[in-house]
Amino acid sequence: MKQEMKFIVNGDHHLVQVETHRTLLEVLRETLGLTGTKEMCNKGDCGGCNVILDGKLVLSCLTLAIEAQNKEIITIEGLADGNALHPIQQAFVDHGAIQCGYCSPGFIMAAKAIIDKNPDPTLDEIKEGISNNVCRCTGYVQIVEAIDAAAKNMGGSR
Amino acid sequence: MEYYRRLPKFEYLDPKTRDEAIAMLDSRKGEIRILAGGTIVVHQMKERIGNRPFLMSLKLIKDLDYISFDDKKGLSIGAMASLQSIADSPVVQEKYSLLAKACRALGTPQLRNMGTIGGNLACRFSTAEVVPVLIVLGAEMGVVGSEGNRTVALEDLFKELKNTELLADIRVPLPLTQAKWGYQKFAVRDHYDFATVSAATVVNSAAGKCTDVRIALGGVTLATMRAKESEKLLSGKAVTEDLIAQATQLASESGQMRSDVYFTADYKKDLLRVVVQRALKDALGA
Amino acid sequence: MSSDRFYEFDKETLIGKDLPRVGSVDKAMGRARYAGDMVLPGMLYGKTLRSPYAHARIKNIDTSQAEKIIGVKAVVTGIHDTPRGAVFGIIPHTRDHILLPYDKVRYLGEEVAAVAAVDEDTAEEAIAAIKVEYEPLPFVLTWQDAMKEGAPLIHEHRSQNMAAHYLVHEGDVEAALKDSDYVYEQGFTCDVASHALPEPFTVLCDYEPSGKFNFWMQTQCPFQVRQGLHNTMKVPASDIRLHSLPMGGAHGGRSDTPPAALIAGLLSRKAARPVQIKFSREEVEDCMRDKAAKVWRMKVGFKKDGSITGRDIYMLLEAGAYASSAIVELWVPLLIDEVMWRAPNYRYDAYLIYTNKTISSMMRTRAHVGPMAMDVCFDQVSETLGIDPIELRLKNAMLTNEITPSKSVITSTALSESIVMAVEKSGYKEKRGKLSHLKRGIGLGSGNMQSMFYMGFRAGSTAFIKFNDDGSCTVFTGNCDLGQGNQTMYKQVTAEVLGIDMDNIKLCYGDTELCYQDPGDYSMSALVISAHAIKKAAEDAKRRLLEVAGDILDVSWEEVEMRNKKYYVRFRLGKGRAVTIGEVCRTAFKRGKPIFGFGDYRARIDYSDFGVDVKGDYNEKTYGQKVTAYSFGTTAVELEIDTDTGKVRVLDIWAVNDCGTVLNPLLVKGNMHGQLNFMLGQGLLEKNVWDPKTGQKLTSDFRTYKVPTANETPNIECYFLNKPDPYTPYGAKEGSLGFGCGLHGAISNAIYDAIGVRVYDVPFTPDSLLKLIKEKEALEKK
Repeated sequence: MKQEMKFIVNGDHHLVQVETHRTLLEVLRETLGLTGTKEMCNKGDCGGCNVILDGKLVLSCLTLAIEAQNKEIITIEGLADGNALHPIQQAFVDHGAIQCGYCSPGFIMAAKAIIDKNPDPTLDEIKEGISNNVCRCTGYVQIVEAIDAAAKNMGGSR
Repeated sequence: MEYYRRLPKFEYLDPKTRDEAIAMLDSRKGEIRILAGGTIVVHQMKERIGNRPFLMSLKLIKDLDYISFDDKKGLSIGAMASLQSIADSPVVQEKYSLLAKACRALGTPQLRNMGTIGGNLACRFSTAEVVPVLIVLGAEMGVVGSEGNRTVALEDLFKELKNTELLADIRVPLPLTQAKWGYQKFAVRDHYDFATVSAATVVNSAAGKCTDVRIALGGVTLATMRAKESEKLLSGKAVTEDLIAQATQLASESGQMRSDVYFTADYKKDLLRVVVQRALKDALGA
Repeated sequence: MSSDRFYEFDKETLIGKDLPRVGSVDKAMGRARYAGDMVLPGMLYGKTLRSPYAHARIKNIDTSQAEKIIGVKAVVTGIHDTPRGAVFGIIPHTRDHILLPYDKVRYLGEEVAAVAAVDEDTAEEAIAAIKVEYEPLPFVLTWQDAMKEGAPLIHEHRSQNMAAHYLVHEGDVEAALKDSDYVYEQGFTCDVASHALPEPFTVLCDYEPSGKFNFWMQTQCPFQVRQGLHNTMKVPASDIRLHSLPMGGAHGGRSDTPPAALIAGLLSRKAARPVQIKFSREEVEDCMRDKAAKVWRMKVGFKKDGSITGRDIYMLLEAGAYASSAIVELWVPLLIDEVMWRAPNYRYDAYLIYTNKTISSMMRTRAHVGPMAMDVCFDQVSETLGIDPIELRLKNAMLTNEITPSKSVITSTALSESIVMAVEKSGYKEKRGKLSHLKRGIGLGSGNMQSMFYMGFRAGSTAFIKFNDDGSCTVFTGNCDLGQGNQTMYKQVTAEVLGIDMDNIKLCYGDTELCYQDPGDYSMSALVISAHAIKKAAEDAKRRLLEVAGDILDVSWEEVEMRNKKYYVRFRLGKGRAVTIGEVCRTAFKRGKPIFGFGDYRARIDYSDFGVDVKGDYNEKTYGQKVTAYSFGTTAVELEIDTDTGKVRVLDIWAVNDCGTVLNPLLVKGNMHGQLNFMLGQGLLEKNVWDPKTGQKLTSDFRTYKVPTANETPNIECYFLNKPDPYTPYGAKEGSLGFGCGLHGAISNAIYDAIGVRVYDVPFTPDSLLKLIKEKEALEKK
């Protein structure tokens, strides 16, 4: 069954018709063409589909699209300012934290959620904050370094 | 062999009030699957487990999502309160630190943001990590249905909850002021895997002797969650290393577990012994 | 270093610099478009019908109901659509894979039919409407069952389900063992491991009416896939194009021609529209590739002084239903095993066994069981013979220019140095035997990996550089980039030779239509083969640039030097006329001889003897240079065990890498962390389980197949020995695999150091360790 849905993604207002059995991940990728958020395991085990929904980090593959009704979502595409990278994105690039890149949007969104909640996280807090995210290429070391550097660089400003 | 990427089709219901939800449950007995946070139900739907023609989301029912504390009655949590909000709640952290710790340690940030306490309880998994904790805190469940509201003990929730009823509130009595608690769990990957086994205990003591002892086990069958024999053993006695060892042995023997893909029931029993002993030592300061 | 430096002045070398990965910015922004992100006009969605049986004959397939469903545009089945006689396999001897079978299925989840429809819901509905009649057959899931008398044969012409046998015997190993003062004998095993790649496999095929198939898919070796499809579909190579695109990891698991590619091709041709097939996560884990389990039984003879007299190895590879690229895993353990520890008498006797499980292929952790076996052996023998375990290793470690039993020359090794450094950096001598009160221990493990092994005529790459009139250029190379940093390396090498900015160098890579044949990201060839060809192409271009610059400056090309990216006459200290590279290019165009560079590099391997007996038993004695270069390294591990639960927590890893010159430390370190992550997971956490009743894999997602998360990652310190190889570009060698293959030996030895328990079977899961701990306690009580 189709329902009309109003929601805000990366500051843009959208009005779309969605089937109620579509997930938020599917609607973001297929209806809005925002393919930065990844379908990686599609069942909540890997964090590749991370988005920020009303300020909270959630797994968009386990969220029905219709549940985003009247809500605000930030996806990976919403971080950069045009072609200028967000400090977290820049830190990932600078620290070698991106290899195949498939898990990177999920990690970067998780990093934003960590720093938004806690501007000065310890390394353990960073690791806990990315505990739902799976990476197969980097071994996590440079990812943690990048998030640590980004937090220090952002020093209180989000 | 079917490999699915999409969810199956269903009729979507989104009641705005408790009464609306109850009316829907009543009119479509057994055909409705309830959606709380989605971390379990949506996952299962993708695997085509437990599908029903109707999916009813509780997300729009505002009075199901709250945390409140009353000096006389204790803590009341709406079934739709997220696990993270419980972990972050100042009153829970202050007065029910065991519950805050268990919620804080469960799953991942996303699963805590999305997952609700009601969903965690109603999912009927013996690995639901809040269950042993709520048992030792003496929690009771507020259930609502067309035939009225009633209170159900947590251990009875699973057999009592009808498919025309809704778990609405979790009520935790006032904490015992002298009580100490212990909570231990084992997971293969910390901060990611669900606990293979866990143990929660609350012990009150007076004049050097245990008065109110509650021990609950996680990762065991629902019927064996309460380690009643261990509780009896410790009750009224002064704590010794030996007594803890005996209570540990009794508890691990009483908990029944099943083998799974990763571990045998025998190994889980070894783990259970370890978490019970460590939880008891935490609480009893041995 | 290169004598090209003679022509440069004030030029800062790029070799050894921390350069960020090319392509990272797009990926950080979520703008990199992987196969699953692409949408073509009129695109259909494909879905595959898969066998519910681990072993069965296909009697009949009825697709009539599916074809009637509105929105279904094409249906293909093995019975109706697979070209007969087309079989895939990376070597002729084990060509056993009909990609879309018409007679039999051999693992649960194998492809039987497929549909293409206007949307995924319709495709799922159509799959459910296809009726297949199977005749189930008995199946086998372990090598023991597969080799039993009377076991069901998975491939009828392979008795005992043995796909291939490989034997190398140098000297007389039995006599050597008889003649030894001590013979160490032990068996080791490792479990089936999964790549668990981030990108769920997706293939998009757009068939052009003229007859050309365009593919976008995750693969390590586009030319291999083209070859496989060319053999199966019987169309010319020029009618199959694999396009270049970013890919979500491979780690060895995308080195075959997957059936999905053939299926997408057949569907797209039938429907006359583009078709995209996306796998679900379970589909990836069940139906793509795993790494075979191994049984490694080893006898090593020692003299009293600790020198090895002979080594006798028996290895069983428990592969999946088709040999696929697991056949490579039959001889790779030899390449790894024979190159570290000197053995005057040596036998390597290896068998590849089929089972009705997920097909096996290669994996970056390769044959780590062999290195583990030797490191555990050294520790145990050091106790028996009373020799220091480090001395024992150094005594037997092979050196540069030594020759292996199968007659490969080790062109460079710093294995001994890596052992010494690992010992020093980790505090091994101070800690060993002294941490058990904390249930902690320290252990050492060494490993190695080859760069570029035998691949017939495909073991070579050709690169081409085209220049624009402003001096910017495009490098064409057939190899791809799975995320490790190949693009960065290709640009870095080009910039280093030509003296121009990396930003002015563009890449056209991994496109089978635009680029020359290349082995692909296979056998660690990106550096020693592909980058070598690029370097030669750049040197070729540079000569042409210097000649034209010389003409403009009116001197011979030998009198031209480069300063600050301009060409000057040498010895004039940068004074006088300067010519930009743009001017050189424009002058060349005007003359009708545009600047370009062409370079070819063939692997330094002697494959003339690496033959296969035509009758089929792959057991030729093979001699000659097998490998272009070998990398080595040693890891030291400090860990802690909870002896109540058996759970291991790795605290620190010190990793010493002999990868020659390090081109780009930032990237190589990241690749090293990734290898340690794979090794750690397979060593302590990852286990694959099949349902013995149905043959279904039960560990098909990240939750059940326990890959490490950030919280399992220890402190890691990386060290480089920087000892160049004489034959490779800038003396560099592969840097992300070899050093870490010894990690399981290090973990096993550290566990012994902590709690006195020996472990030989990977993974060392908590329950398996607890069992050994309890057995030890029971023994001590007696």
